[in-house]
Amino acid sequence: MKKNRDIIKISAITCLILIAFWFNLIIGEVQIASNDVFFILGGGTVDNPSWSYIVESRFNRSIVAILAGGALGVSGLVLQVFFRNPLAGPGVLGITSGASFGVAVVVLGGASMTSIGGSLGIILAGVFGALFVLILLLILARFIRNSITLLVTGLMFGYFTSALINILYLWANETDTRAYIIWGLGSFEGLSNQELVILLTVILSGLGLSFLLIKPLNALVTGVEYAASIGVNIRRTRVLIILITGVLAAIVTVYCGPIGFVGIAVPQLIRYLIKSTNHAVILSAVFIGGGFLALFSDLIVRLTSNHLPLNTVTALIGAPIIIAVIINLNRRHAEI
Amino acid sequence: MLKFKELVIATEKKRELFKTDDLILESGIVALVGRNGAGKSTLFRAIMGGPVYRTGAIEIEGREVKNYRREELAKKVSIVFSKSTVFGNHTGRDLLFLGRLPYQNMFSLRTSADHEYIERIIALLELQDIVDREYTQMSDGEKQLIMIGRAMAQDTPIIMLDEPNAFLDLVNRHKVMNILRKIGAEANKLVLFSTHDIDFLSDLCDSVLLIDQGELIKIEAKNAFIPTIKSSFGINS
Repeated sequence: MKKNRDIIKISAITCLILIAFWFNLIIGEVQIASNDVFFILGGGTVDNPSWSYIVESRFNRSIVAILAGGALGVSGLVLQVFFRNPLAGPGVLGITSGASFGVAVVVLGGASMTSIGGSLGIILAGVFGALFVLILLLILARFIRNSITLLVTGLMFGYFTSALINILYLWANETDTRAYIIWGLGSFEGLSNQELVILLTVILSGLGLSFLLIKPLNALVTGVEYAASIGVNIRRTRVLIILITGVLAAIVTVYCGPIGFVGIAVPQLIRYLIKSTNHAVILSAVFIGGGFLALFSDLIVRLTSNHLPLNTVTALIGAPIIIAVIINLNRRHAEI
Repeated sequence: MLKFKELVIATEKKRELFKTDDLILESGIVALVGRNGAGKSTLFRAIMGGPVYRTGAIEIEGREVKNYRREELAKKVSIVFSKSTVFGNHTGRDLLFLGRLPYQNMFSLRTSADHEYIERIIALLELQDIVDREYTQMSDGEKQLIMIGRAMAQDTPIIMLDEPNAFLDLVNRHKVMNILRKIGAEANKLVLFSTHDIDFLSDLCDSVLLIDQGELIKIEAKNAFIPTIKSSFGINS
């Protein structure tokens, strides 16, 4: 039965997350033995006091990776179904760029990078930027029938905001510029406990709200008109989709930088693996899958001697997946 | 079952398409005939409670369609379009289950009642051979049969089909017409479909709605179907 196979596959991804999580705790510039990690997590103290600090920061970093990857995956999935476009995602459609622009205005305008995320201003600016692009996209989508046109429009949003950010550089001082560029490389590192709580709260709320979208998403695979005919309130659904995808993508961008490819590649991989067409199953699987991909990417970042930028790793993994999807779609002459 | 009261339907630019006095449709098979752009699809959209410029009332079971909540209306009227695309690797069966959505909880879980209902439809419409194949890999005719099955699964007293034959070859047209006949034979169902195929009408339909020079009229005598349509369209042969 395909249902049982789906459960096995989702359990397998969950196991992979746990394994990757464990590796993320013990591996790094300082190798810490498994039993010491257990001991520290259990609240004990070890001979080397700095180890407690290291384990704690690796623990936080891994939680951030899982939450961020999961959130980007869910955001991408919802956008793909809503636009009925397998190549949609928060990055491609320019939503991440919108959030980045919001962050750039505040950071390059002089807000200290150390306070990034801690400052409510940056979060609000990021969310506002993301929602602005989404709403603009939805207005334009009324006039765009072709799914490729929509993607190109999204890419243009991206270029446009990059250009605006380049203009902001002209006024920014060297420290702010440097801070912004480093943020742009992407990282799951360095969130304070307080910031972690904010990220956790926002992402879990977004995820909770996305359960209201299960029935609408199931219906939207046949298009807006059919969805309305089987009882979906399209206006309410549209508002929910803007809020959920915008806020999820924005909060991750604010805290971890504009992370590419996770939002578009994960829903693809999951839809390939999972045969269920119920979004109750697909949404959960995408969250777990996104969490794993982010955690795995971060493990590679930490294993490379000079610490590759996170965005480099996600691109190396994500881009081939997306090309494979395009080839597969063309081969099957699937209608998109 | 379906009632129009002093209805005037207009385009987005508020140009009047057609009007009708009080008109009542009870169960049976009814064809909607009119030239391209006469307003057939717009009428369907209006019956679905969609955003259409109109005055007058459209009532289902005595209640204005705009006063239904979306989920309630989905239990009263279902629709099939002439071409339907699906995003995802859905099988025919998955799509039939989509018709049960108005009856499902927020997690869309399939109940045993849903399963029984779907099996009944598969048997009735003889979909056994195609139902477990992937929708995107089906022929246009097979896709249309599945989408009609999906509308049936919605278990509504009114089923509407907007030019169900538009993209089908002759064999598939006959199949679809036979299926409409089967659905029409079900107790208390109104099947309302738009078409340009007038050859089938006398044999299949209980009555015909004709959009004639800006007026929606109902033709009830079978032997009047074809002559009235032809004279309205100015075709003499």
